[in-house]
Amino acid sequence: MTIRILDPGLQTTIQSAPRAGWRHQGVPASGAADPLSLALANRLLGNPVLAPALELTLNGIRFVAATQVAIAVTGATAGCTLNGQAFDQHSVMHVNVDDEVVVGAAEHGVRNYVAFAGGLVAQSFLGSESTYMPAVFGGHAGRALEKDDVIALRAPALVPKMQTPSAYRLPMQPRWTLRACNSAETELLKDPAELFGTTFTVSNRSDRMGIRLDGARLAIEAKGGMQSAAVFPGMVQCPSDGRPYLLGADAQTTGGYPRIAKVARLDLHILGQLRCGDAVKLMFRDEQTAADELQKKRRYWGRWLEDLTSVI
Amino acid sequence: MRSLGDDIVEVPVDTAADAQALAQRLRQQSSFLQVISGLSSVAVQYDPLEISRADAATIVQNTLLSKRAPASDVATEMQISIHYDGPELAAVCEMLSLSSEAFIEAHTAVVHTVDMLGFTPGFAYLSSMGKSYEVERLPSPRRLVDAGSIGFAGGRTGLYGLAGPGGWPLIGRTSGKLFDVEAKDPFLIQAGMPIRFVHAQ
Repeated sequence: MTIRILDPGLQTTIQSAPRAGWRHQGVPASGAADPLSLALANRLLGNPVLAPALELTLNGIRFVAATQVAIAVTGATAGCTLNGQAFDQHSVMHVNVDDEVVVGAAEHGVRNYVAFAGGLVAQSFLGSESTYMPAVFGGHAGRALEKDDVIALRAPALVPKMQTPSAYRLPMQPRWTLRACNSAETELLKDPAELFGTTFTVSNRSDRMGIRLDGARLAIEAKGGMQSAAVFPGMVQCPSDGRPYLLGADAQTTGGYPRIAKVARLDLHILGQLRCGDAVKLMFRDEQTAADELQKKRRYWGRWLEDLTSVI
Repeated sequence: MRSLGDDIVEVPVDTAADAQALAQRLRQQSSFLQVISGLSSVAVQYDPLEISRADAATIVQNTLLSKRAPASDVATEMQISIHYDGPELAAVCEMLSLSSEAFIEAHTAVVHTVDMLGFTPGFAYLSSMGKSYEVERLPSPRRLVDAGSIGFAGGRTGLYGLAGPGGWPLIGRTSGKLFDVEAKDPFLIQAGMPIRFVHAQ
């Protein structure tokens, strides 16, 4: 019960739930950069919401199945084929022995998720099967997949044909709005309106650790002797050059740059789809409004997905 | 108490030791998803639909004010063997107007304390040797620093548990594994641990 990788694409890793509760030892969260898309793929196959699956980056994957298994592809918009025949994302596909599956280049968004009924076998470390490449742990040998890697599947479950209802397909687009709250050092900004309301461009310095935003250079007061303190995925740091940096799933656990904003929990999943050249706007929210909106969003998505606490 | 976002609050404290003690007590209560001590602060992350911001702040405040539990087991001193052959050893000594022998003697004479773990797995910030030992970080960080590298900046010693980018001037290296995925306890170093460097010749 395996699949064999023919072409791993730019960067394919196994991702699952975040690694909870180890940041104080310097261990980043990791996990799917877009956990909502991972959950949608697993949902179609009857897997636990954040069961380990393949996270593809920008230019897809090509693999061959050595067993019968049902799969589902979600995330960035990309063309998918089974033995050369196009198939839809967001739908259960039954794959047979020796069938070749291709997920093409992402058109909008960055990351696709390919999930397998029953899930796949991944190395668990500190309570999560998610890959963290810098320290070489989790997933498949702690690294991105390579050509000819063989990935073992858990006993494939029999699943019926099913599709994600259109109301639960995340729109992928080149323009995004992220709801965000003030953070510890927001007051160092000379003009917070420069941050909230300006349209930034996602730079090519973007990976699972973080995303540099190009565009306006923010005027920020230099604060001497800032002590290293905790940082989290979704936090926006601003070094003295005024270029905001948005921390991602693999972000370091502490940092010494001013923390000028934090993307609200409910929009964190979008970070995984921000693509070089996309337009991004931060929209200010106070903490209470962000919590109210989180409650609404969980209620909405809770009608399709089961356990949302680690998803949004 | 300050807000770091919709699901994090942070409380300032005086010292790294205070931060560690508070973080440890908060972790024992298991109210929070993450409890992280900085050099002079503790941050807690929570699910805003499970705990309100006001409640999170109250829990942290009450824990801060509650009678401090007697210190748990006194951490035993860890010895780390260091080869003082880093590419910036000479530059660091020059900035401090010390011979390398005098620097090594000073660096091995004191007991350092782990003030903070963070950045990446196995990275440790060791306490300051004092104002007279302050040197600047590199003007731009290296793209790749080897695991086991030992940096020195701002009077602090930094231990790189992992290979990766890094901005500290490097004074040496240790062949010991600071972070070991294979080990039963992957973290050789714990916050608060006293550390003494031994000159490996």
